[in-house]
Amino acid sequence: MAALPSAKNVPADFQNKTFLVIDDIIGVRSSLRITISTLGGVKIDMAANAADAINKIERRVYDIILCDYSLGEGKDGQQLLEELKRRRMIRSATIFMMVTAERSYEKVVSAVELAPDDYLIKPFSGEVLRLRLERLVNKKSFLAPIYDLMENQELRQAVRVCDQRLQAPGPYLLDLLRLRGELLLLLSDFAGARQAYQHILTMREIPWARMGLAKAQFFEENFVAAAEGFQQIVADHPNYMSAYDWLAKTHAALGDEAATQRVLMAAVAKSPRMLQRQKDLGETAYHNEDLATAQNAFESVLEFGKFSDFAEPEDYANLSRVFLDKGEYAQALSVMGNARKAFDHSAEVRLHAAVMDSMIYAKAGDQAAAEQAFNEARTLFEDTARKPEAVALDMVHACYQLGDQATGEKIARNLVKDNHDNAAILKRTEQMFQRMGLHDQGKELINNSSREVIALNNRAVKLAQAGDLKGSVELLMQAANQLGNNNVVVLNAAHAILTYIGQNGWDEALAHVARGYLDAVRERDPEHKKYRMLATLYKDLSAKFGVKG
Amino acid sequence: MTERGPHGTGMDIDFATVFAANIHEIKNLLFLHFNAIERASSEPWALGNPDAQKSLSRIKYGSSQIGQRLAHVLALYRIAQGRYELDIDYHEACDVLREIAVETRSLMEERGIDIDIGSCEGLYGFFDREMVRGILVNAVHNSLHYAKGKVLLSASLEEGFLRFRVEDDSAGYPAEILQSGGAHAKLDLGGGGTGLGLYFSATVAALHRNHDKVGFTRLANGGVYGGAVFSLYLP
Repeated sequence: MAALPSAKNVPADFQNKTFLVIDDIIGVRSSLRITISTLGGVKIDMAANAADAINKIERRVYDIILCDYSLGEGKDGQQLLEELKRRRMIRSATIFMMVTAERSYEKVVSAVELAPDDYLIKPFSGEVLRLRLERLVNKKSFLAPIYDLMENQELRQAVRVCDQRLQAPGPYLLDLLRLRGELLLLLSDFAGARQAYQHILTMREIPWARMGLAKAQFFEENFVAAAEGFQQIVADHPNYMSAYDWLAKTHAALGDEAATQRVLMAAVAKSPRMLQRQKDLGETAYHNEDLATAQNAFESVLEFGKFSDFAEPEDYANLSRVFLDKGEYAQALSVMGNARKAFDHSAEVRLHAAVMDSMIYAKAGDQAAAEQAFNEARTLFEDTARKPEAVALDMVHACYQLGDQATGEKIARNLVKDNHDNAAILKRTEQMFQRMGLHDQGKELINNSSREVIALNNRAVKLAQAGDLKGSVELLMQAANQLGNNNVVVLNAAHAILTYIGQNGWDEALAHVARGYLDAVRERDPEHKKYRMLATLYKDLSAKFGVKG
Repeated sequence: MTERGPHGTGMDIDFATVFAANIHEIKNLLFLHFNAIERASSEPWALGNPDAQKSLSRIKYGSSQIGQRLAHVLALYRIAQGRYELDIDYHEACDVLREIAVETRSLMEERGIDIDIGSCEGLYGFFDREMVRGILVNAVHNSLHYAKGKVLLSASLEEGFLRFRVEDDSAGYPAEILQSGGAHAKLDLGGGGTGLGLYFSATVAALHRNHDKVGFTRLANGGVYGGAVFSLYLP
């Protein structure tokens, strides 16, 4: 017989690799262990389920993870992978291979945003496993320099390396193009990202590229084009769940809350266990005054969130508010009673409960109880650092109901100032005033407060345009100190400082302030579209001026 | 409670779903079976025993064929339901062919057939690797049945299509199969073994689309060995 053509891949040395095999069936585990040992692997650990796997991965660094898609009770392989990536428990260099009996079973592979490195369809022979692993080892080492730069947050340099390698791409063309698109999105270079994804789409219609293009368009605030893109993905790939969420978000940005609700309902019908999506649906339906849908969604949040750390006191308040609006006061009170128990009377839950109670008693006509709850709420509100927008809104409502207009106005004004560019929150605030029969008054308050922030911003921009960069920095820092919770203002201040440093050289005192601003935003909203760009700019500048970043 | 029909509870069963779920289970069992055979062939009693190796290899071939068939049926079921989505990625032609050669090596050895890979270097394409692998393995299994001693796998670029080719030194396809052609292959329950495989291949090939181009399969006789030539064209 003729010699088999040898693989072009450099043979990998599996003896020094650490393996983790995850499968709920013991027979499959031991069978895979034997297969791996025939490849020369000796450092092989086993896990029977997702929890067991996480436990093992916390203790040891694995080079290669073989994971079955179905893991019996608990998380499946895809959910495990998502958790590992979300918690940054596996490095980019780790090979994660999903083993399935059938490629299209349950989840459609192409519709998964966080894909494993490869899929292995059962049955497979040891030799096929070797070929696949060798190919992945080669690919990972080809892409390693880019992964390293990404892990060091040197995103611009990572793009440059992608560009260099794209001169002679070979088998990793698509991987390079995909990484490049993701990097440009992270760098907030939305025009660049748009072009990158458009380029891929001229070669082939690929769902993740269509997704990337629509995201870039979304960030460029071309919401109509973005909605079309997300719509196309949902139509062609009904299991691409994150496309529904983005489509809903885009409809919301276009101000079409009815469409937002429609899309979220379609998504929830497909996968009801996603808490955040149920929550978004509940909020949208509530503001569309569809109380039945809102109740359903918020009840699902509590039901599915019972045993996870995702449920928050806010989720109980959301449901309680629906009962309040329906006039079911006993129910509304009992939901908050459950919340107090579920969160062991923490300050946060007591705040939510006191605000809700005061509104419920006020509407039910029990003035004494309402006032008592309101007084507690007011104290707690002042003492609590972390105040979700929903509780602030409820607080405003309660203030007006119980005749403390001054406090209500103050809280509303701060809420608007902290979120002057957040259309959804402004709209919700306006709607709340409307419900209290104070539409005009509310509108005026919102306009005045946000105008204040915008004016301050504009003055700083004018100073900068007139060449007074220092003056602009000072003004924006002043604004950031007043409006420390407003991400846009704080990031603008950081941006001004970094621009100033770029032109005038390193200034440690200013850099320290900018660092503080960036850290504050990262704490609150790490996905903020301007945050990553500025964090990278900071890094670039500290490298340029030889300061350890 | 709703009233039951005269045939009792059995009427409520969605047979297609039960069928699909069971095939899925069977595939899982087959995987264990497959591994057990692999393990058996490396146990001491079998290692130095050519007859045992031959028998085990035949059993392995049988189960891998069953596995292939089940995969085809499941894929066709999903396609019919409109629930099948291709997983399009960028792949190297040689990579795919190499894997098929490695996978079928022991069967080839046992039947005294040489499998070679012809030119395929530097060719890439956008396609669903698992599906393409299924199509080509099916073609190789056909060749295994009829080839006298040679099978050649190769790839080329033709008018914007990536063309995969499986050719052998058999007597070629019978006239009636050539006439119906891979693209129009019909399921024939009474006929020989190749019906489902060709039907599957033609159906999955056509799912591959790029702008106005659609994938297809072609059957011919001739080629470098003068036997059957199976071609898969991907846009």
